[in-house]
Amino acid sequence: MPHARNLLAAGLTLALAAACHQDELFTPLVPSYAGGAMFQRYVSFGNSITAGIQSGGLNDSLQKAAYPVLLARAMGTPFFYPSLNYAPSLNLYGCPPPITFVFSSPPTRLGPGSTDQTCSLRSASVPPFLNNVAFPGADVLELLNTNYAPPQPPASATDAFKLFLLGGRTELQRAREVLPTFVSVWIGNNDVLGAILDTGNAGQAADITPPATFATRFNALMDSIDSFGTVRGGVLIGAVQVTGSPYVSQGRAYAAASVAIPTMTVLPNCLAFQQLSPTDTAFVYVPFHYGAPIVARAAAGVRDTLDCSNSHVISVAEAVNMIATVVQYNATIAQAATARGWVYVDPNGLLRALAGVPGAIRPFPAFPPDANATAAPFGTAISRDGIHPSTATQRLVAQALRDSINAHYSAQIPPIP
Amino acid sequence: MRRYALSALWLSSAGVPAVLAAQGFSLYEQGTCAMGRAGTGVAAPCADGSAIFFNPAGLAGVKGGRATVGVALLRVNGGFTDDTLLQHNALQDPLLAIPQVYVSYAATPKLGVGVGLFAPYGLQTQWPLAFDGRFAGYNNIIRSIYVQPTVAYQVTPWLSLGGGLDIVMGKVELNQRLDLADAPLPTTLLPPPPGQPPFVFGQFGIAPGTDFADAHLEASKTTVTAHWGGIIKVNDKLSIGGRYLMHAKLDYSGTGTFTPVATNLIVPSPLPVGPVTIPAGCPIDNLLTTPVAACGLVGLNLFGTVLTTQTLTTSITNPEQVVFGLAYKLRSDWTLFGDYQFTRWGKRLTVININFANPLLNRSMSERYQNTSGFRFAAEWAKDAKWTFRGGYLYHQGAAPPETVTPLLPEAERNEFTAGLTVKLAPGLTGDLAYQYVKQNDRRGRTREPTFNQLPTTGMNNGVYQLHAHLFGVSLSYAF
Repeated sequence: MPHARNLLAAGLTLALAAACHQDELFTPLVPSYAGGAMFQRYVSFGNSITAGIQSGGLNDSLQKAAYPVLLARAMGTPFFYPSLNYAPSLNLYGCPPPITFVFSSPPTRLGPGSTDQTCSLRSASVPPFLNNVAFPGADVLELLNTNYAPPQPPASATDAFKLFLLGGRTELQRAREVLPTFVSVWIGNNDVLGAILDTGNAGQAADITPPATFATRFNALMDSIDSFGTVRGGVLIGAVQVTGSPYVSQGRAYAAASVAIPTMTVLPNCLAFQQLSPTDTAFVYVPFHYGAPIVARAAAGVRDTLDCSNSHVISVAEAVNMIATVVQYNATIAQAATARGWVYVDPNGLLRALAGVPGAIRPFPAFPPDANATAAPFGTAISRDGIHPSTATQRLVAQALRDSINAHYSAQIPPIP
Repeated sequence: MRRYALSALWLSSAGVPAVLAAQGFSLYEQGTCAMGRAGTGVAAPCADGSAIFFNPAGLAGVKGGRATVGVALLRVNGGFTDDTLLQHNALQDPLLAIPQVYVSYAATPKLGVGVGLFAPYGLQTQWPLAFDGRFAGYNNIIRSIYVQPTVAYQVTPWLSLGGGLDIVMGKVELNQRLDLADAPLPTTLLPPPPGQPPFVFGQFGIAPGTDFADAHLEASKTTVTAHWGGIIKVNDKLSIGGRYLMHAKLDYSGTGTFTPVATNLIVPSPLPVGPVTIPAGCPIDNLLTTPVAACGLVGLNLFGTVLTTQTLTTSITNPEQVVFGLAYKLRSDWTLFGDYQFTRWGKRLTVININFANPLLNRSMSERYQNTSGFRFAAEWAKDAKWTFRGGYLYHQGAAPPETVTPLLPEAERNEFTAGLTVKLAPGLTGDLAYQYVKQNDRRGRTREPTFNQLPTTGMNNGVYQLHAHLFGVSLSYAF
């Protein structure tokens, strides 16, 4: 009998010895710094900025530079994004390849023969899920809705990204797969941006999501995120005052430029403005797609006139509406953050600071033959499409988010690498 | 005898020999008495006729006839926990049954004969359809029923030899989902760059985990192998035994059927693919099947061309088992057992090739199993003429290397504990009960097979498999 007991004891010892090593089986997932558990699974919602678009193009090289990727790397959390091929040796430059020279018609893109329809497809190595679920062109409705249920935004060229990046599913659907513990949401820019990109009637109210509608949709989006049941914290980022983007230039900037271009006439109605506050003023804004050809023609010796009563120009009243709308969007976003105890970050402070840095955000594009026309036509802070942040600005955004998150949650996310 | 044969047929059709109770996909619970002994007994098999499996030589020198019918019931608990989401998917194996039927008879005092039905190889792993491993296989069955006529002879008072011819009836079944993200586009539609694999739908953004077809592969084969054994009685206390179950190569043939699974995805904007453009609004399910106007009359007709019902062949070899052991009588009522088992997985299961009538579907699954060793120890106490109690412990290695721990067979090293008893119910009639607890070490593994028949690596491992099982054995034995 004692012999049998010894055998049993030996067997149990073997079993227990084997069990001691089970903790080592899982890949370490919880970041070890203070507050790191919250960032175990991070998902970023958003649009083209969050997806990583620069210079009107998207590829793996640019996606890597997007602020959520940088932030996740600092967090030390696994982070998958829908990588688009970038392999110049295989003639793959993106979907579409980024613009290298914006002043040609159409703009020149990276890679021989590239157009805005060129797509080098997703990388063959498809990630098991996505942490960066942002897609270019997304407005708040597209985050909320299934792709195929009404109401639907009008068809757009960026709809292709719904398939190429999200596999035909919505940001919410893809995010839910990840069971996120932390989210960032940067949405709302495209709810007003359409007004400056409208090539028929820039600035018109029909291109802008009314603030009340935005509030309803945004709150529904947040309710959907709450319904995941896994999110422990988040950061909500306000919409950008798109009239501050260098894609639109104040009418007075064209007037100043016309001094050096005798064949270009800028009518006095381009100098209109309205003081909104001691530090904020609404001007007449000329979109790049309308103003640049006038400058180009005049520079080539063909006399041309910029009339700011034209529907292609954003009037002061339209600008006031856009600015006020973004203020109301951001009130909604801030309120949603407060209600959840989350962080709210207003990006406009950062962009205003950049606007004060010489050469960072140009009030007027650097047209050829300016040496900056190729490298940074809209400034070093903005990429060659005049709208999307450059790599340096993406990094600044990541750093600002990291600082705000650390302060709010008493976390110690390391600096952006 | 006719009655027993009918019982055997019933068990072979209704019983489900299965699952994860020994090395690789081998099963060792082939007798309730031996199960209580942790499978030991090659040197002194139980008297219930299960010697036909545990050592054919054990039939020599028995007295009279013996018929035994039994079953081992398996309740397997386990699952997979993935690294990132830490989500647990539990195995959904039903209560499984391993049948055994043994009939033995002493033709002369030295010559014993018998026939046995047992299932030394088999598995069933059943996973929920939400599990990522469904693309490797969500309901996987390997079933090998052995029918073994056996002869044993007592050559000398100290040496017995035995052998049997095994008729092996094998069946394999694999049910899996196909992931559109991994599916290649026809090279005629979009030729890949030279030297590169075909483009896959995932490169158009289709998300991993987009089921678009259900595959049911089923094949069967009957073959013949043999089983040998010998027992040396060193003295009245000590016996030494050994057995050798030869490998059984099963060249399966069967059919594969494929049924569509709706993706419910719609192309959101015009999609250029090679020379054609898929219009916005085209349901991807139509794109995969028959041309419709909504898809610009582009249709790949996958289920009418590649994924048709078709023949398939594959080959799986049940490896040889070599077992040596000893039995030592401490006293007249106490016996100790110790066995060592070697299973030659390394030679027999390196790769599984599934060849379809359409070679585009051919698959090659690298398994690279390793030879395994198992160690079994047990003690048995004959309390009186009516009651016998036994208990044991066994340990064995896992056959799968670290890179092939998959939903098909998520195995690892195991420690197992057993207990059992025999009771005389009536003159000539005995009953056996046994319990076995199986604790498999948690082990890292993967949920997916590599695409394009590439070799797997441990880099594909994405979580941890856990498994433990409770086994209950019961049998009735009648001496005549």
